[in-house]
Amino acid sequence: MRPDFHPFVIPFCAGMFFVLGYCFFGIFNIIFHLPRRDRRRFLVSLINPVTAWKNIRDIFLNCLIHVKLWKRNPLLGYMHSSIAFGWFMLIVLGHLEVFLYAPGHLSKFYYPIFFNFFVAKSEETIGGAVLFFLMDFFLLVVLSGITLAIIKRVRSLWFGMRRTTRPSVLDMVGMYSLWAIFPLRLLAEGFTAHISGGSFLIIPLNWMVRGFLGNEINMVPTWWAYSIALSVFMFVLPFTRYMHIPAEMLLIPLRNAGLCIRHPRKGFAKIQVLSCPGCGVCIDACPMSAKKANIKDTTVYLNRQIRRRNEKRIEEISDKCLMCGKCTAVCQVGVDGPVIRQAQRSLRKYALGKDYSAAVSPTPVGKAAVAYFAGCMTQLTPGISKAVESLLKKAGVDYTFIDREGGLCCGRPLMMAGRIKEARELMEKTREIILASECRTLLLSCPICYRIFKEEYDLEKEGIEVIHHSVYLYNLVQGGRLKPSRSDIHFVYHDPCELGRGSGIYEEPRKLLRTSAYLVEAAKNREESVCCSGSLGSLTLGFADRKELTEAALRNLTSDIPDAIATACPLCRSTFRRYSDIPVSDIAEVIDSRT
Amino acid sequence: MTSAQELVEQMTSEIAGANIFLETTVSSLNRLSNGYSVVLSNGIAIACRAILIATGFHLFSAEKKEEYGYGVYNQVITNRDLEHWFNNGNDARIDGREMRKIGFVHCVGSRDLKAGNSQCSKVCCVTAIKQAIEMKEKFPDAEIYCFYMDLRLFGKKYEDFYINAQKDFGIHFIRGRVSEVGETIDGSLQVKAEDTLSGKPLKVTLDLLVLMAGMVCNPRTKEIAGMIHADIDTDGFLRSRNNIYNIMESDRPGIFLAGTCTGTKTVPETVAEARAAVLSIHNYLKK
Ligand SMILES: Cc1cc2nc3c(=O)[nH]c(=O)nc-3n(C[C@H](O)[C@H](O)[C@H](O)COP(=O)(O)OP(=O)(O)OC[C@H]3O[C@@H](n4cnc5c(N)ncnc54)[C@H](O)[C@@H]3O)c2cc1C
Repeated sequence: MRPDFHPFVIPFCAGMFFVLGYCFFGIFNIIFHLPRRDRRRFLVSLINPVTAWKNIRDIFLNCLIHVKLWKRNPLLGYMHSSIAFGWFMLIVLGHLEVFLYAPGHLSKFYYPIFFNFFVAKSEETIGGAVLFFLMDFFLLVVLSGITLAIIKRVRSLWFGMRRTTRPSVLDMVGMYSLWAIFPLRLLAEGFTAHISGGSFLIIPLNWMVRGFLGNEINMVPTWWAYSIALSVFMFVLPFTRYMHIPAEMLLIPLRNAGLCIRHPRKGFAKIQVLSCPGCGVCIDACPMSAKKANIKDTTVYLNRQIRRRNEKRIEEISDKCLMCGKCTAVCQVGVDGPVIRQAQRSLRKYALGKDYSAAVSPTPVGKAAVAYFAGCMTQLTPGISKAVESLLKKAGVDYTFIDREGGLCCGRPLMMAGRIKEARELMEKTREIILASECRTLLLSCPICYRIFKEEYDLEKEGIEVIHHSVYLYNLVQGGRLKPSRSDIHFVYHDPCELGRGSGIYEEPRKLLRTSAYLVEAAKNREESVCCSGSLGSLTLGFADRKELTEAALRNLTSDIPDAIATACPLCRSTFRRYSDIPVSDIAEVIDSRT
Repeated sequence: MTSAQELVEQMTSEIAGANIFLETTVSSLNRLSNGYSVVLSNGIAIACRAILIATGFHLFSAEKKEEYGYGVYNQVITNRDLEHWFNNGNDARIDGREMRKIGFVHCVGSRDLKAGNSQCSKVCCVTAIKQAIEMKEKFPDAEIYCFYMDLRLFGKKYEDFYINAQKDFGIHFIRGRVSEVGETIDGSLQVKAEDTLSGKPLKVTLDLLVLMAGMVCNPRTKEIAGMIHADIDTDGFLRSRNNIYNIMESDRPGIFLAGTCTGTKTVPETVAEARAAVLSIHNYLKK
């Protein structure tokens, strides 16, 4: 038995205290900045056994195993889980070793980390052999992960990533120290393999590199190096992308508690920003990345600029976004880029406030069980409203077109612009129109309207069903009230952002299209559908800027050489029509032409 | 008013002796060491030293501004349709229908980034006034409205024409873009616009709406440009060597340009440019 302290543990201990202290303070800060209602909700969720179990499960699956990454690319998944889970197991097994062989030292928390230096134990007992085997096994797992990480720096395409972020200087320091930790541990343990024991990895190593490992003079410096690598990693961790490791463990319970972002820099948003691992999956996903100049406006860079408090860039990035939600759909930790941006936009003070509280709601045209509300976008595309009306008549539906003579905005564009107060005022007026129509079903042909009516208007409470025309028409076909005939045309269906990612409607429009045409799929579709780039979400992208993005979206759509494009959003339809070589129709027009 | 027919007849008589191929297009254009070889769709090949491109413009497809309802509602027509009707006198959308209110929308597909064209088409303002007056003459009881953003009446006597339209014909000019066109329950056309002078939104029911579709570059011009690698300018029209003093010359040797293939123009401008181009060619051949 050796002494139970050696100065080389000091760097490690200092790093450990620092990072624990930082995280403790950070947790306190984030919980403190939650609005009181949210804080209560969070604390209650922690003692609720259902959410508590969900928290444990999600932390295990996401932080250690990285299941989502496995689904994206197995190699990428393996790389992350081997490092995270392997390291975790090394820590757990280290503690187990101390518990079994040196229980008196359990209070010295550096003991499990440097166990082989302090405790000489042989692998002769069965338990010891298994333990040593496992230690070596997980060390090998971590080392394989590190090797892959090094390969990934030069060959990111093997890992399914076309573009990744450029790491900052501190990120590099963190990365190199992380890479150094495990090879150094391997070496350090190699010295003591013949005394302290080891298994299939470090014992052969000890034999093979006798020249170095056999010389005791090299031993202490190697343990120092190991401790210093750990220390450097922990000291830089809070200022690097590696902060995502501890942050995600708080993000998961906060999300499971059902919180939402209320301020772009505090509380829930802050923990999302800190949880961003900077992997850059959102760069390839972002429709704006079709233009190289926009790459730095993707969510991963927003998070970075928020951490750097670069106000000018934060504003620019927040205003430019199309708010299509694709970065959120692909994000491994679930950072909600558009919502952070919306919260950021809502902080802006406008010199000219708008006041809609005095606006007069137009009276709805007629009263009927089914109220069709075209909304501004369908008013600008009368081909669609005509087709919807024609189908309603063919199916014999008792309906009224309530904003035929004019309506008001649903409020979603103002909401996306962060002008919440104005949006609410407008929504109140629009709500009056809907209620005055005394309808039971509110039919919408615009997904932008649909989403906000569904999410914010609480119309279900009034007994009003809110339904998008793609679903409504599908139900009419199912019920035998519409009988479209099939044509030979091959349509590709474009998932509008607000209908697909925004409202989770993917199946009905496809099934509806199949009743009257053949359906082919786009290269990227459903959750990963590419925004048409006509979105109202962006406050600064002009028409000229959007052209290239729309053309890229069209290339994605037409990869299977369809005859025509069908979509279920008036804005997508107008945007694509501007540059498409093949016809673009709304799903209602397709069905109407075949019925 | 001068009739276009007479004008064309007069001009063709002035160049009697030149070979004119009607109903013929250019199939290919190739650069030779000292000029070009042109193969026509009628099979004739011509070797020449200089070429004057005067392939003109294309009318903006009004269907693209779907909010104005062209192709969706029967009572919506374009300036070209109306001009046709003036000349041929038959169009089911106009004939035999009562005309109490007629609207003209200026700047359809011109000065409109959303439609992909930022340029002013120059002739629509005065054409709208001309067509409005003609309609008033044909339907004296009809009320006629022109919806405009600005009136750009730069040409000789254009402003007088505008004043006459108001004074003598009682045509209403409303400053404000039309936001959308819809149908009321009884099937008549409803136009929503904003009267920016009074600051109020406005709704009018119309019997006929005429869209003043603007000019865009003729797609066939781009084909020709492709054959000789001539440049297209950022506005989509052909690029001249210099937009101020050399608009009739291209960057390619022996290739000259005239008329609306380089940008939107009126007839007097086109004719003046054509004459200037011919003179430049004359000097070029003498060199
Ligand atoms: C509705 C309307 C009203 C107008 N009213 C007025 C007015 O009142 N006053 C006024 O001054 N201007 C007016 N204009 C503008 C006027 O029409 C143009 O200024 C004029 O026509 C331009 O002449 P151009 O020779 O450049 O082109 P164009 O008149 O377009 O002639 C181009 C010719 O080239 C031919 N061509 C194209 N490609 C090929 C090819 N590849 N091979 C062979 N031939 C080809 C075409 O067939 C066409 O005959 C009006 C325009 C419109 C649309």
